[in-house]
Amino acid sequence: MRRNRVVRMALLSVTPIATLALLLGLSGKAPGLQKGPPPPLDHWAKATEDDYVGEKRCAPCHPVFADSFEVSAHASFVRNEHLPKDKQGCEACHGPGKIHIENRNVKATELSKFVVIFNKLKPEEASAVCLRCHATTMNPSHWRGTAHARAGVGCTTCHRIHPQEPPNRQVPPLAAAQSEKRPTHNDINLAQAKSLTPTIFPAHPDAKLMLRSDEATLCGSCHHREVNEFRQNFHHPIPEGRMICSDCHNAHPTRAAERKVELGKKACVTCHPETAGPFVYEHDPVSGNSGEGCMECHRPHGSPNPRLLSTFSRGVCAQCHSDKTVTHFPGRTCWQAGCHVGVHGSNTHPRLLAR
Amino acid sequence: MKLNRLAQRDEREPGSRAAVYGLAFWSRVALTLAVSAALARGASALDLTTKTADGPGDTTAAKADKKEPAKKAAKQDDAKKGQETPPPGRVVHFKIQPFTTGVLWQNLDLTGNKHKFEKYATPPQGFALDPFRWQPIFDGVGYGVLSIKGQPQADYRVDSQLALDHGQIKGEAYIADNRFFDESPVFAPGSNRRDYGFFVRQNPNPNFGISLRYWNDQQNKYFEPPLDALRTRTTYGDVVARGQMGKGTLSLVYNNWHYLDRLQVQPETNVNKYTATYLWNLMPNASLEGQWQHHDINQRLRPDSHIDTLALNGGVSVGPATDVDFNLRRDTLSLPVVQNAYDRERRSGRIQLAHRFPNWTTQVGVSVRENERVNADHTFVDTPRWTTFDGKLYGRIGKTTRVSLRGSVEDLSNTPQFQTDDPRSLYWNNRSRVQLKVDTGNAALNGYFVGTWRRQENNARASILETTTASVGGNWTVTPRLAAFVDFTNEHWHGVNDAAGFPGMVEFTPDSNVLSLGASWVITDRTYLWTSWVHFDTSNDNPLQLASGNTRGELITINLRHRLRNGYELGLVFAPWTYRDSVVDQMNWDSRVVMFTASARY
Repeated sequence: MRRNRVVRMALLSVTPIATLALLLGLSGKAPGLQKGPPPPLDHWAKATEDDYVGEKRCAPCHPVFADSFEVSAHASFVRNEHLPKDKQGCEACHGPGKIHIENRNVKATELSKFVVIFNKLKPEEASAVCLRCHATTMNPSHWRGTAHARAGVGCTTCHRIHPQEPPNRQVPPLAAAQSEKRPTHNDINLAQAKSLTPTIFPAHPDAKLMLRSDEATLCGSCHHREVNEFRQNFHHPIPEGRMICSDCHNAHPTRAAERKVELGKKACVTCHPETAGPFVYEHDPVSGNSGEGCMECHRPHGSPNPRLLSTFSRGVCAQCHSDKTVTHFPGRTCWQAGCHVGVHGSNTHPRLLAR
Repeated sequence: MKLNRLAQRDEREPGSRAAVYGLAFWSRVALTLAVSAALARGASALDLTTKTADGPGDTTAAKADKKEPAKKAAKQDDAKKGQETPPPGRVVHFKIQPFTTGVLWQNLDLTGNKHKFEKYATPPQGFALDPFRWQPIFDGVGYGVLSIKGQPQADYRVDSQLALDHGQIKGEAYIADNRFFDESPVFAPGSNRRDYGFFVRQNPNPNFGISLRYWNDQQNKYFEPPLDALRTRTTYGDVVARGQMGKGTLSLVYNNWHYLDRLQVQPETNVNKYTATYLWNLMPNASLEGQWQHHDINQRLRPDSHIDTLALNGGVSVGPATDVDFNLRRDTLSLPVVQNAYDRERRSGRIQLAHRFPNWTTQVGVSVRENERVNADHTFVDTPRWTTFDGKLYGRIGKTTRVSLRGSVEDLSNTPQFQTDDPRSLYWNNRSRVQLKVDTGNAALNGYFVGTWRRQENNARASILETTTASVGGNWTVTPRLAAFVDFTNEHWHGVNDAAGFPGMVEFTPDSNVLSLGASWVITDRTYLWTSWVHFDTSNDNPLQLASGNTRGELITINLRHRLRNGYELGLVFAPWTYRDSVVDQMNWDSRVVMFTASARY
């Protein structure tokens, strides 16, 4: 109780401070419509038809990227001549080429004024470029509200458009290529050797096209606690390569045609359909009535307890049914003893004595 | 009348019932596709899809090209005259080699409880394909990936993906077949699962897409008695039409989910879900989204159930660095099947404020959720309400340190009445959570700390469940060729309630540790060595002396790889793994995995 009061007091003290800060922020620049699109979208806004030169003008100065782009999933799409010019070739992502060619000898710090350079962009700016075409995957207003966007994660944080090698290898970007210096054989060989560097879980499925690495390594680079949960005794089979993070999570929350099934419960029902119900006799936490749904009892990433339970054996039931801890037929778990086997709901008995 | 039709329909054989459901599903798919195509055509005719641009300048060049093709050709010639010649010494970075064939030979040398080792999948013993992969590039058309790996006699896995640019069509298909065991050393048949499906999407124009998805999941699971076996088949299909319409995005979705229990313990269930969503971009800094959703749930020999959902979401940037988002949702549930207490309506609302400072972002939110809970004999309706306050503060300290602090407090009011033997509330009336994350370091040496504290209270029963988790770790690049990592997580659980006597709640809340150490060494430009050691242990009072309560595992893995000049690879893995159960010796296992791999690309 004391700790709870401390937490509550801490939050109550943070809230007015945050509110004050917000008021200060609101009293700053007047909100309103911006005149014209923000950078880097202004590269396309200011362009005319003559400013688009075609991707063949890019290859002579950027041979490494031109080569690697051949195996990018974007290549076949942006070479569709039926697309508008501003969505064809290299200029679909990097802006009209003519102004960049005319100003190619400016200082490196000035280059980004004339061409879109992704590693100079903020994550939200890079995402805005991608969303010029991927509007059916993610709407900009949806993206802004996601936890990833607020944490400064952009499209290019996870996705790679210019693979240095075919996408079945995990390759860190070549420093030489990024600086446009001609790579030596030593540079290439060392990078290829480093490409053998293992992922977080060696038995991983192949990385999906356009991702920088397999999902567990990519997500695990920030979500360290979750990676360690998967190393627990009982876990969903991501370390074994039988599942990937996107089997349960959706990094693009508004993407249509999701594989996951909710049906009023969590996405767990997709692979565990026997818990979907509705049952004649529902179990409150399972049906979501008490709030957390499956997470009332289970820890989906990993747990030291069998069946990914949050506590061990009778502790799962005792956390709510406290009166049954001591006196109620002690021995084995409540379901292993052969009694309450319908823990997810029963079609035959109100005390869940059968499924 | 409806029940009569239901009874008549369900008197048919299971096979023909499946056929009826299948026919109903595919007819709905056809209808949805027809409606979507008509909408797309109508939107194109009204020129609605081209007016709203993803970004400025989208249509300028395209419109100019269409109007004056001769000018376009002349300007292309001018551009070619000014083209530079390629610089000398151009390096061809790599050659496309679409085929990869890999084989492995593995000896598990497994003793003890093999079922525990094989809990998640049956790893191949002996020779196996790992993988065969074909990644063709179709010039100007598209690309594809076909990957096959596994052992043909016991376990195989096929993943395939194909993308075509013709008509902007993309297709994917997959199939997976797994075999695994319940961890108990008591004999139980092996479980298996077969899962296959496909996905097709076409974009009739850049701003509109239609997709179709189907998957089929067959599971045969066998558990240690007295748990019943599960022999089920689940099918899922959906059709999605999504694209720009007017000043927003329209999405129409139809889902069908069908569940069949071959043992007929669970009733056959068919669910149709219809969803319509419109996201209206009011202005560049404000949007509003409305959603309507309807579930029809049909179970054999039972009345139909329905769930209707209305949701309204919105967001506005009130300043250059300030966002306000809100969500409102109402679910209305009609579940005549349920005979004990259930929710007939759920309402929730949330508002969130986020402000970005130069190096920090702060976020505060309030959520309210209220349910109308009907008791078992339908004589009373409770309205429990959960109110949650949450806050988050994250940003940077200096250039190399990121910090994130977040917390939430949830309170339950209007606690519902319970008609159980003990009528005291079974719900947590308070949940609190605090998490602190710190990431710091540079490319050579970096570390992290994640601390989480969570507490749940039920005052009616004096129940408290509290957990504290600490994770710490880091990476050290000793030299450009040598790197090491360490990760450690400790979990401490504590639980009490008002039940006097032994065993109590505190005896069932185990602590655990996970420690991982590893290093990678690039010995030469073509040879590398990677090692790791993973240790996990559970500390549990375990008063009932049950299996899996006090366990310890040591997993050492040594991985050596060499790449030949022609791109072929050779590998050697040695992995002595042990698992011990302090209470039940029959759960123990030992394995000394030796695996040779070879792969070629051509």
